[in-house]
Amino acid sequence: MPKLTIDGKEYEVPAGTSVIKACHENGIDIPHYCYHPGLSPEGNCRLCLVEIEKMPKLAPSCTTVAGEGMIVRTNTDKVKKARADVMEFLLVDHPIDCPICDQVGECKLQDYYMEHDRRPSHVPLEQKILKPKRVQFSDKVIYDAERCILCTRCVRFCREVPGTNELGMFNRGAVSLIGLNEGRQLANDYSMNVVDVCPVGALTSASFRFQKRVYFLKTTPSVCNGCSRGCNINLDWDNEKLFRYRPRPNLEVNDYWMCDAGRLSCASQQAEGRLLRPKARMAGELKQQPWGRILDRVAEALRSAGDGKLAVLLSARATTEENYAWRSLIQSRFPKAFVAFTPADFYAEGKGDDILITADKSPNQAAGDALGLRSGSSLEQIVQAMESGQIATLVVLDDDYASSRNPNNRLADRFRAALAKVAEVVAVTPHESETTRLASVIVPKAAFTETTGTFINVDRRVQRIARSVPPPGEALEGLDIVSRLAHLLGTETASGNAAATFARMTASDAAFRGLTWEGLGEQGALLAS
Amino acid sequence: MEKVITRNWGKPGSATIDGAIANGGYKAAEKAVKELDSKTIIETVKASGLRGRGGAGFPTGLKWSFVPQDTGKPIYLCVNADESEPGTFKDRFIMENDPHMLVEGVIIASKALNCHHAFIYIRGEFFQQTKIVKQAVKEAYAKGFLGKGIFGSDYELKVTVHNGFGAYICGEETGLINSLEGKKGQPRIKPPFPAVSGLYNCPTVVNNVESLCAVPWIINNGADAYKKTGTEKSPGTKLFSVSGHVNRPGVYEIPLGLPLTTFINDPAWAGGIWKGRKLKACIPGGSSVPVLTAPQCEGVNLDYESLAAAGTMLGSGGMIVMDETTDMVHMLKILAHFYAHESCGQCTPCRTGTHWAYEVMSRIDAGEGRMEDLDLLIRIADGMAGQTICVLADALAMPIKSFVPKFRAEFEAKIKRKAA
Ligand SMILES: Cc1cc2nc3c(=O)[nH]c(=O)nc-3n(C[C@H](O)[C@H](O)[C@H](O)COP(=O)(O)O)c2cc1C
Ligand code: SF4
Ligand code: SF4
Ligand code: SF4
Ligand code: FES
Repeated sequence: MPKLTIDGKEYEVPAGTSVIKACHENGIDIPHYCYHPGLSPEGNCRLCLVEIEKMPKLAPSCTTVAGEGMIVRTNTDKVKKARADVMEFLLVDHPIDCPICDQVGECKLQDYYMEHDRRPSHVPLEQKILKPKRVQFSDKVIYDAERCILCTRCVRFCREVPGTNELGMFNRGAVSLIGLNEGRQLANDYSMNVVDVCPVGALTSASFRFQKRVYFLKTTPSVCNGCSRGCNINLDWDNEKLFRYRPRPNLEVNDYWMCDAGRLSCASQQAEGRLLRPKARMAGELKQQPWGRILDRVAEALRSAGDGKLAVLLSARATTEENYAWRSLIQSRFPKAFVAFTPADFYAEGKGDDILITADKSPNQAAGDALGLRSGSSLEQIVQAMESGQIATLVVLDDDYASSRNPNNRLADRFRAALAKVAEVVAVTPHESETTRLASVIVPKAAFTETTGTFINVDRRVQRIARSVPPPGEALEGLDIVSRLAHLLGTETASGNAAATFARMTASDAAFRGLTWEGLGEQGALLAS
Repeated sequence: MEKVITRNWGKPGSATIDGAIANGGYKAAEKAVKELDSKTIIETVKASGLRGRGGAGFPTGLKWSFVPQDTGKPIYLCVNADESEPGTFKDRFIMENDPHMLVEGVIIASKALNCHHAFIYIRGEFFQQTKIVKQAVKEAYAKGFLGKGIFGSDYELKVTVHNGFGAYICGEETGLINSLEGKKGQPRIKPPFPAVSGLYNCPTVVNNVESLCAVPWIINNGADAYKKTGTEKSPGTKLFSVSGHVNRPGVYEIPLGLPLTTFINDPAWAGGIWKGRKLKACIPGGSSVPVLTAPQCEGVNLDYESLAAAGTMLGSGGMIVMDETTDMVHMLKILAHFYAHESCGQCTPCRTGTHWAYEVMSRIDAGEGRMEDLDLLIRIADGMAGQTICVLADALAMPIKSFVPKFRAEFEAKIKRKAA
């Protein structure tokens, strides 16, 4: 572990650490463009230059490895001048079209200009080099060569993360630009990360561009629910509307990235098919009902079915807390009821890759094991019981067992037919589905982006999600729904508060022992083995 | 002075292998392969004081000694024959007149480095020279001087001749390596230096054509004999390619330490300024190095130390001589254009600085400059110098920082003429 001195203070860092990393990890800001902690350093922007004793020239801190006894100065006049010069060079031919640029507010050119340069421009707009302004790299990513500062982060991302190498730097000198290699499309499963790594407004997302000024956005940390990897994300939202997902760094899970499918699920998550109001079938017809009436009806259906005629299908799409609260309610009031959890392969799709994407497209399969929900009945047993007329009340969370579109849903036809034999089918879910269409009570639930709780990922990491925008219409968070029902059924086994529910879980369930809600923090924690 | 590099030039058949052998060629290579071990060769070259002739002047033997021999990876030698710097055309003459001297140098250097595959990277525009070198290599293979078991030993050496595609930056050693690997020719960040991680991430030495051509003579005659010519710190001979306003432009081998004015004026060398005019300025070592005014040329010797003391560099020995009629503003504009055109574009200060400097120079040259432009040029040069991955940025910064102050009156006159 080499010790080095930065601005007069000594620090010890692991061998092989770059000087810039040593600085950043110790709270010393070094401006940078081409350096990205998740990519190999290339040292081309020259903004991160620092003074290192015994080195004849300023050294790029991103490509210089911290050495024993190194004496680094990050704030000398020489360093400041070099930074100002680099900023000036970068802006000489920059189009400065901030008024129509999506990057405004999160643009490193703007930020660093204010911090390190602040000099007037020397080159009038009409003398700047003109380059292509709108190059379609794919239907997802658009490139503006004039704004590009040629840091090659995007090139290195494609080379190093998906390994697909679609992008390259073309031409020489001042007319250089980034382009697609011959015959290529920017078509990898992670392509939109180039928009995030781009420090300026050169790469923009086709779906987000011109939608919103980013400085109006509020950000809530969450976890993608596109697959069981559980990539950490930020939800960016304003005025009750979600605008985008962005990957949130977590070196234990997703590094700095997320897949395009996960990212683009933002739109579908909130848009079509959301269930807005509670409804119940009256004389064969679905009618909107106030929450009080609906919950009374569900409570009555549970009570009247009692132990033997009640079945509950818990879900890998629901939070751990919601599943736990249902389990507690059933255990305390209806210990003999049928309880099953989403079959392990229900959301399996293809193979996944060895980067992030997993085959399991549900976010919380691991909760089934952690909460011991697989030891009860199986879906098949419940369908059998339904077919034999044994079930009077069925509660189904999230999963669309009635749909035959999912090839893993082998029981779809039987499930659909058997629903006819169940007196009360209660569907608790955010989205319309085949199942909700056949249900007798529809309980509209908040989507994960509107919910606080945890998901447990494929590596058994428990990760918090938090509510960003409020749920649309009258929908309620899943945990809220169970706890209201529990109250009506005369038990206080559930609380509507995710943190409190989590605390109960850590006390009652061995898998969660030692964890705390606070302790999960923004990076999550592993289940006890 | 005994000629080292040019000793066979002009002799009949010297570009053929039989001619080369008749001239004493390949003796040193045979000796190195059969009798000398790696260490002895390196020590001899070190002792000769030979310094790299590609521009940087780094001691050749020392460079070879940096190559780690225990990595288990192959070791490569790359011959830098990319010669593209304005004013420099000496390697081209070597390849045309005595290609076998280069092949022989490659054999000896390879033996010293334990290298079994050497690459000769020739500037793309050198069609003719490439043909000549390829022919020489072919002849050497045919004679058993290259390939398996050369000179009857168990030493094997392959030589591949490779062309560039017309980029000056591929002469920078790591740009050359990238280009050889089939990548875009742009320099790599150092460290790691090529000696440790070069071609295909293996230990690699990049040497200039002329540097390697001095080696056979040193092996034949010994380090002490080499040091008899030249100065103490700049031993040996050096090729200078002189162009511009002289009576005898061309390539000359001189003893290092020769007075600059002697070189320019002596009928044996450049033969004086043409048309009886007066000297105005001289760029002694290739277009990248600071310019000297006529008075500054007095008392300066052509060796590394003396030129450094005069605030310039020996560089590649590409001397450009300018007479009193030369338009220094136009000259600097042409240089700026060259570097702006050749910048690989990866470093911010070089990509933008070279282009911006060219724009400013263009308007001054067109009579549309402003007085502030002169300070601006210096500021641009300051922002470029020493701040980039390779020294191409410095290669324009140095001319700017010498042309502008040294010929300021001329720049001002051009600016004022428009105003008037
Ligand atoms: C922009 C640039 C261009 C260069 N071009 C050449 C060249 O054409 N030929 C050459 O031998 N060296 C050239 N060099 C120097 C090489 O990088 C390297 O120092 C040299 O080939 C080493 O050989 P030597 O030690 O035998 O001189 C160039 C350097 C720079 C920065
Ligand atoms: S597009 Fe963005 S990430 Fe790519 S080189 Fe340009 S500035 Fe860098
Ligand atoms: S890999 Fe999975 S968790 Fe990550 S972004 Fe994609 S779908 Fe979401
Ligand atoms: S200094 Fe210029 S030529 Fe050299 S690597 Fe940087 S941009 Fe390329
Ligand atoms: S961040 Fe180090 S050179 Fe760009």
